[in-house]
Amino acid sequence: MVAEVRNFMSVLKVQEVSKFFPGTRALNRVNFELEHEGEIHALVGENGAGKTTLVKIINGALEKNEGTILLRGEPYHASNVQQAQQQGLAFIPQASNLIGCLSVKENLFLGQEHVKGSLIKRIDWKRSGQSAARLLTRVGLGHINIDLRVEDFEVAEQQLIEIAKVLSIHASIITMDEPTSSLTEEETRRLFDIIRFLQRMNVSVIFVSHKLDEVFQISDKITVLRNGECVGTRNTSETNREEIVRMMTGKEEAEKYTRKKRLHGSVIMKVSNLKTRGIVHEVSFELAAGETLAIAGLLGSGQTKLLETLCGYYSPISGSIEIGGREIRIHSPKDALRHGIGYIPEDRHIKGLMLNQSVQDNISAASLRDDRQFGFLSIAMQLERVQKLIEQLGIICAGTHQLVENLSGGNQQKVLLARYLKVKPRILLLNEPTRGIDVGAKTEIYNLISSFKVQGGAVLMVSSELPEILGISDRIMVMHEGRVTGFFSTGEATKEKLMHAMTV
Amino acid sequence: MNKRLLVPIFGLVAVLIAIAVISPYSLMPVSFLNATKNASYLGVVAIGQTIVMLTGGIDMSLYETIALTNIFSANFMQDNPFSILSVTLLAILLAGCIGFVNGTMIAKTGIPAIIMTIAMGFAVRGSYLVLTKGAPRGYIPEVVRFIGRGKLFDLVPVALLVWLALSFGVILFLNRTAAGKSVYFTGSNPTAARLSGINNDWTIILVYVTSSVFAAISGLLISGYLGMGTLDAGVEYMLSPIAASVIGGTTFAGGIGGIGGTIIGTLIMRYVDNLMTLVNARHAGKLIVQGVIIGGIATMHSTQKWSLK
Amino acid sequence: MKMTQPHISFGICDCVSIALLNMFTTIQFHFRHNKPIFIIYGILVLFIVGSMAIFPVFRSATNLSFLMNQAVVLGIVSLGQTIPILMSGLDMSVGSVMSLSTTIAAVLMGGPGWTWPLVLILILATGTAVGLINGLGVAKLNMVPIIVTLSTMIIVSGLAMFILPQPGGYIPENIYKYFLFEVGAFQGPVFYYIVIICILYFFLHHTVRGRHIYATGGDKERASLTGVRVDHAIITGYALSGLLSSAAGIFLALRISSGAPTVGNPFLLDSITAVLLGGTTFVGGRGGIIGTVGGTLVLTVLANVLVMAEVHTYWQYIVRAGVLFVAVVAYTMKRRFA
Repeated sequence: MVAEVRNFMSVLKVQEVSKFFPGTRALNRVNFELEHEGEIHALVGENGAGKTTLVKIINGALEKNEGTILLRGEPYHASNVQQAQQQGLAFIPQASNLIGCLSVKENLFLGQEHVKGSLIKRIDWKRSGQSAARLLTRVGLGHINIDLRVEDFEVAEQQLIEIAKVLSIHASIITMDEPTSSLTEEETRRLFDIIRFLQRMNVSVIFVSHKLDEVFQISDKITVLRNGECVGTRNTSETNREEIVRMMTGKEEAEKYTRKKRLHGSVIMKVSNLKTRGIVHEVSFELAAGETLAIAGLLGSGQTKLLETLCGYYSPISGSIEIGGREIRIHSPKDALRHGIGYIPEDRHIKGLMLNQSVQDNISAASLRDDRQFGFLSIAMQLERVQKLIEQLGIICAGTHQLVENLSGGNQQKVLLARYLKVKPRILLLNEPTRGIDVGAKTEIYNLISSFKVQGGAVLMVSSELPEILGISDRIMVMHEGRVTGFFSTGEATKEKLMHAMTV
Repeated sequence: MNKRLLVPIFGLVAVLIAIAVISPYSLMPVSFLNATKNASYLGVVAIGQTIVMLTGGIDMSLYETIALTNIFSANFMQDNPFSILSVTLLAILLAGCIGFVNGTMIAKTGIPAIIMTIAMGFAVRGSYLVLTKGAPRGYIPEVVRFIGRGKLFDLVPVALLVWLALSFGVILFLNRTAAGKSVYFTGSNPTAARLSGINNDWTIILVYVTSSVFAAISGLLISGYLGMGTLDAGVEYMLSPIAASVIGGTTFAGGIGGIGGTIIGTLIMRYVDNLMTLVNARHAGKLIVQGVIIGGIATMHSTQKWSLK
Repeated sequence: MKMTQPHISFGICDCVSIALLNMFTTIQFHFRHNKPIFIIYGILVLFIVGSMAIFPVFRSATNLSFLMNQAVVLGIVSLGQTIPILMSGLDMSVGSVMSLSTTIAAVLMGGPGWTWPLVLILILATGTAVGLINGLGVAKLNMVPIIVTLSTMIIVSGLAMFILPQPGGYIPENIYKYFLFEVGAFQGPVFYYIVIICILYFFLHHTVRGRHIYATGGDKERASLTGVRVDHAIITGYALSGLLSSAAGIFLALRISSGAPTVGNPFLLDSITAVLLGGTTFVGGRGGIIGTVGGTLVLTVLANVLVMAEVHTYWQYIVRAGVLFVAVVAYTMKRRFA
């Protein structure tokens, strides 16, 4: 008689929670509620909206500054993740919840180990082994040696182990932070099956994601955060994509992909039979001025190695690279920059940005010698050029001296872009340029890429989002297992044709 | 001015106040200048250590390089200009080679800096012990003694001038040249630096050569001060350059810190040591106070970090 | 092998070969995972065999037992140093804690009011306290391990000097009978060393806290989010290092029958060398105390051999430099090309 019991207790009720960091207010009086057991509740928002902050507070990894949280009607507090776990809340962090140098068996139960013995508590390896075997069989990995280290396994198997770990968690509320960011479609399907299984077991799931397609597939409710505030909550069945995007950005989902008319320029770069470190071999293609050539392919097909060779990070083993008709040797990023090639890597935090340096230093890092006067760096000259770029790209920062680590994801990516635009390159190599960036900033970056092309530059872009590839590229090159399996012009390409070429 | 310097400046002010309270006479110009001169020897080495720490590394061979320079110059310097000049250059060259080996190994083989420089320290120590058979000999010529402990116009200590000049030069280098900025970038994120066209290997080699050369310069000043060759010239300089840099705000993270802070850190350590001597503290007491100061200021830097964001 | 039909008889040869096969795959598995251990023990065996061939003196049982005895002090402090290094840190205070331990022992044991068991407990408590301070600094104040342990090292050095400014003091006779007994070929201290190794191994590999130390070293951020109490692991790790340093100090005091405020200093660098030789590196999460024991033994044998070859003490610096250098280059090169 659900209708009668109107004032039931919510499973989890977050009321007026705020969180301050020095200088910013990450969450401002946010309300969030899991109403029934077994609810699958998506939490969406742009980067920097506060989603991860909120779920970290719920799971004990951060302390809130204001507000209350009720767990089934009782006040709830956790000052660390372990306390949260003891009260039935578990957290699956973004990008892998496994520790590479520990064994599969240990990883599956890390934080929730089986122990035996009363006086001296020691780990019950036998029971762990049995439980592990059971869990792994569920994901199709029943045959593996669980004493091997996680890092000894292939990426695909590691992802399945991650999913198995999800199953191992004894919790009534599981929070998953961007769980599908590194999963294939097949594995995402498997994960969703497991989430639905959890639902049947009355386990609630808080699903943080920026992939709206998936959110609409799996969730019962959607809560939207924007700039640290809760914009609203909707039942998934009663809303649509446009409304959610509007709530996330405050504007219509405008034409994201602006592809200006392609200029037919002459061939700038010609790569022939390139063989590089790793699996890349026999790669040949041409790149013309004013065009965007997108590289599509499954994870591990060699796209990154290709770009890293073209930008000079690795030396090619054989094959040739021609720029403007002349064959050139690229043995270091310095060579590449000299020839007008700039590379923006896919993990901007790990490979691209110098987080504890200022905006000004990050932007001018690749062009230090350009801002010289009388042999020494002229700070005034550098500042002027940097400020011009900040304005041009719309970078929001509290001054050029602000440390880059304090900027939002989108702005950080723009800083990286600014660094390479400052050297006035002819060719931009982009690796997942909009990964982890909110919808609004994505559009800005697409526009920047377009204007770069209009001025005669050429773009070689690796992306794993097919809509993005189809949206902004002029031509598509598909790679699989280190070689090129097909070229398509965007007009004739379809998702199916591309998928086929990526798996052939 | 960098916010990072707030904590060390606060520390320095606190120390000066303590001196003013306990022993006001030491604040009189002559003795104060003298105390500051004594900081110069540490100051010069500390510059080198700071630069190395900016790349995320550490140099534990500096104190042995000081000892080596002392023994070398005492042994070979004769009292004529040619000898002094050539031995000086050779000593610096020798230090440069030590730094070159350190830097090359660290950059090319990925060996942790602490291990490489400890091993090099051992090697240098073993070398001069074997060569001198444990009994260094020789004296330092007058000219060098003057540079080490003398004063210009009877007022301004030469060593202090050397320290200030070198500091100024390095600050200029780090902030106004591409190579200097590269030091910060390599320390902050080597991969990002590489992708920006910076040659990390050369940057690393440069900083280790610099630190060893500066240790040699300090060794020459110290030799001038001591007047002779001895086995213990470098003994107090094993950890104090690190302490001075840390107090000044340079951390092991790489990319954070600078010479300005190190200068203040050096002064703090020297003045505190003086103060301890004045109150007749035993060596034990000095050590305890030194440790507390380093720990305390490092803690302040750590907790201040959050407010800078 | 799956048996689908019942096999009538299993000859003894089959049993033996199956057993050998199992043993082989197990060894192969361990080899793949623990290469450094095989390497260091391989080197150790080579050293010992080589020394036996070159120096007849080496072959005597007395020398071997002397060797084992020599290894104990360095061995125990290196066990302690292994744990912070496993967590990508370092404990610079180990040497000073050892010195402090010898000074406390030398001053209090001979005097009135303290019986030697109480003094031992005091020493161990002091070492643990220093370790706790280190751990708190790293875990709670977020400071870099080198700096925290550097500070405590200097302070503890000062304390040691305060308690006993010059080498001296007195270790009473009656304590020795608990340490100089012989169990078969092994002398007392070796026996304690082995016991400590076993306890520590059990702790690191079969308790939750021990596995959490490995997890923290492997990936601190991720471990924390998975529910591991990283701060507890760090504090425990440094506390253990302090505890073991003070224990090593006790054995050192017994060996020199006195106390001295700077006697522990050389052990800092030597302990780091032993740990690194044993395959535990600053990367974190990999390696362990078995390797460290191997590293300790190699260093001890080396020192022994140098004395036998009548190499002047001055050369030992160069040799230590060489050993340290070669070992670490070998490990880092291997990782680069793996």
